[in-house]
Amino acid sequence: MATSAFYLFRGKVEISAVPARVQAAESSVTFSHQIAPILYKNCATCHHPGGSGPFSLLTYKDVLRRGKLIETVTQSRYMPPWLPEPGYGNFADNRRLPDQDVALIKQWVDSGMPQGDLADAPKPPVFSSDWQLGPPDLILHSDASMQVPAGGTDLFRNFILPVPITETKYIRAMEIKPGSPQVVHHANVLIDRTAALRKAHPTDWKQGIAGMEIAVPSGDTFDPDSHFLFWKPDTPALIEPTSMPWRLDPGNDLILNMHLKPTGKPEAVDATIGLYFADKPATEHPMLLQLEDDDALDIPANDPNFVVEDQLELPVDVDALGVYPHAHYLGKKMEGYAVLPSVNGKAGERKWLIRIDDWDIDRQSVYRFAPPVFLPKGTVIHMRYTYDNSSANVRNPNNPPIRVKAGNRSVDEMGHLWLQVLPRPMKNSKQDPRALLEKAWMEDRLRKDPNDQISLYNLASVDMNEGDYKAATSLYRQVLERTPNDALTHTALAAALDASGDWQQARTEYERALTADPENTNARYDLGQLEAQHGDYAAAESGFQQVLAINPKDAGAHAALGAVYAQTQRNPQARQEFETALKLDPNNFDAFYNLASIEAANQDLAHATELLQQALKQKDDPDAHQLLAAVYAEQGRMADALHEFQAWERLKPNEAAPHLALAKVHQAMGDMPNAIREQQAALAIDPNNPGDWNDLGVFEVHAGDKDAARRDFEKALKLDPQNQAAKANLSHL
Amino acid sequence: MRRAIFIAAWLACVGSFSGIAAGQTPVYGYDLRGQAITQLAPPRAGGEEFPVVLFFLATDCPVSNSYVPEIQRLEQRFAANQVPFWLVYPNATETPEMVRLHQAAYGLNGPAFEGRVLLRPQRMLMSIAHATITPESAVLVPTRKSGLDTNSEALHTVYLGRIDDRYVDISRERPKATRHDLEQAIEASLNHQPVAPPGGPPVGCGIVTEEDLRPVGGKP
Repeated sequence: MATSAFYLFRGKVEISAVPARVQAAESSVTFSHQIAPILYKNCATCHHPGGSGPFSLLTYKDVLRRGKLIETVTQSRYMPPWLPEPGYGNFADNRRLPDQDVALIKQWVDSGMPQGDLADAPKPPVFSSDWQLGPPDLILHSDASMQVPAGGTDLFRNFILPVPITETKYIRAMEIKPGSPQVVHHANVLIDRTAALRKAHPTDWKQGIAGMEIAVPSGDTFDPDSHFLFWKPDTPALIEPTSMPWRLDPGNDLILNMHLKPTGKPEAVDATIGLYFADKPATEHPMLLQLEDDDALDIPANDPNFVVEDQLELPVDVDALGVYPHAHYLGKKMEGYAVLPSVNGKAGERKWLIRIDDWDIDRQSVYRFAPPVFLPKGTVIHMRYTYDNSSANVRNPNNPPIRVKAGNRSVDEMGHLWLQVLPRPMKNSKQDPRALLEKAWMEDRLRKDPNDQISLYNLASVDMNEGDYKAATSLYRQVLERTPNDALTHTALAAALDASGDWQQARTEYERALTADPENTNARYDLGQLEAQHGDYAAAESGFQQVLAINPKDAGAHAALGAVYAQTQRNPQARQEFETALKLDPNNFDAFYNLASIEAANQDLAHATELLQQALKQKDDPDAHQLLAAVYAEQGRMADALHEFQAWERLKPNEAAPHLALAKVHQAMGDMPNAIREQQAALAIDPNNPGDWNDLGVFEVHAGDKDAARRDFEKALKLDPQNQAAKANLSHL
Repeated sequence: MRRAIFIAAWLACVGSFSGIAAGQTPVYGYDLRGQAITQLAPPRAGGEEFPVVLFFLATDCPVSNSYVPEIQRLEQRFAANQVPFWLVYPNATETPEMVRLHQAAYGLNGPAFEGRVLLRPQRMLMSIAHATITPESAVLVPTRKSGLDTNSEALHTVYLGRIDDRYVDISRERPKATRHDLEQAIEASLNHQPVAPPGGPPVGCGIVTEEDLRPVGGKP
């Protein structure tokens, strides 16, 4: 009977696929024909032998065994795990089962779960325990495995994985193998740029550190690059867009924050991360924005509808790439939306980013928009979360309910809406739109808490990036009022002071940073650089050697020590340090540049040329262009020299020196009009150098313009009546 | 709708009367070696009445597995009372080998449950304790002798249902149980007090029989 209905169905397919499916639903639904394709597409990624699902759903027998359960969990939308409400945000990899599939499953179960002809069933998907993207370029393994006990409440643990790289890498994909797949609900990976968490837990970091969503400092520079590095069992390989690999620097740690759920037996968590390197750095730099109001999260016991809201106005155009809503066990309803700017006096359109009506921390995820959502400048992003702290909320960790505030323990609460945005380039402005976004975000945080240390620190970093060193100095000092022993902030303040010209005070701040944290290699290195710049080579040498005693593989410290040796005429030692630096980091600009300087001084111009060309591959640096131009000029390669001086001038348009150098090259090439033009450009920037007026006069003599030459020799003598060259030149006319 | 417990108990008596010839020993199920289990409540000196606890488990049900620590806790809690705790694996899919592996993985192979593992529960048992879900539990107590069947021990069910209220439904789990239905039922029966029915339905995986697993309408 079922077989004949099955063939009837096949006949209808030839006429029209869509009505045929409806017809099949009404008549006979079989495993082979309708159910297996649904399960293989939507369930099998987790539900296969060795997968994260607790049982396999690859065969008819498997599914027959679970039929009622599958019906129940699809009817209730518990499975597949997908929290966003339909119609409130358009997401890639939407895992919500179409209503039609849910109905088919129900009809199939209710009709006795007929098998159909297995010859017509699709082949079950094949899963491998190997790395999905092939062997990774780097595999990180947590040093100590952890035992999750058989029972009890969920655990949230941070495992620190130091990254053994000696040069910056760009990561195009990451895959996580959590060890026992059924115990790990989800995981977040954080990049700890300064290894701060490891340093804060020097003795126990290998055992993993408890806590849910933790914050780590981003370092002492404005570094807003950020990605959602979120993992859940059905997305084991996290692949970034080609233009947006994420950066890992030597000294960075990865922190694997895992949500672990006891399964009834002790389980080992033995996490491994596979990293896949990109060939090139990112060309697009997304950043993460966060809406929150943790200070307002003070939820009275038994309150079933406690609301927390936040909003943030975007100062630039962005494309929103993804959204990650996060709360703990009291979260009930989560709404995220954008109100676009008003047009012609009409109120702006409300664009939903996400809405979740039944929040469940166990099934949380990052949701990526398909396609990205354009949000123009002036858009206001809103977050509105509702919490249920009554005993009717079965997930309430407190029984009876108690007052709950913000925190990163599971019994505390959180209310965060993370949004990954890609700022659009700003028209007619060289300003970094990310700096404006960061500023808007931090000012929003300070509006809620004027003493928020993170915001003050991050705003200072933005000011540093924009060259407003005085403002940065003031903000860093504000931070230090509350955290006077914070080595990171002392180091940042020192950099701000140095940049604003107060190098003695900068030195004091570096010393304070080192008093607070004698092992702080960043402060030690920066202090060494400061001392070297101001001629205290002995102190600088000692500082760099201390850095190398802590980290012998620090390529930057080897290059800096080499520079000190070069400055103090110890070229053999300098060469050795530069070569060591380049072995450790084949892209080390300083080592290339300084070694080239030594070779140029030794007249090994060919090698100097090669090294400078390598240096310029790392960085479009004005000093390297200048030195390479000089090396070319020394070899008589005037056209090449001209090209390099022009590059120098492009990078330093407001300085006279590149124009003076260009004038000399043009003169050497016999191109007097251009020599005169460049000399005049230099004098327009700095008209007070008598020698430059004299040289202009010389070019004008060669060009046959004696009147102009006389006038310019006289200008030189007016600035310096004793100028011998100008006197002699004037007398020759 | 769930059958009322007294009906199940009544059916048990009918079963022993009509299905089994007088003088024949009833079989509840089979142990890991395939031997028939004919007695759930070992005799005690003095003829004292005491309850028997059944846990209905599955080797491959995540909710059932997550209750193993609670099952172990309850066994220890009542160890001094010498309450026999049986691990019943009711699914037709289970084999002795699968159960052995499961017991080893979940630490159920110690002395507490030695000789107290039951597979292939027979109609006799399922009609007394009409479990439909794993995990589910039952508390059985001796029935006053009816005089109809002198060889079989006469038990009837005073509690059938969830172990506690940790799961409200398959998608809602409390961090910790707030009501320990089974524990209260055991305490009450030990004290010869009335046993309260469970406060909510059992949550977990449906129990499947041979019949349930028979392919329907198709070609292999």
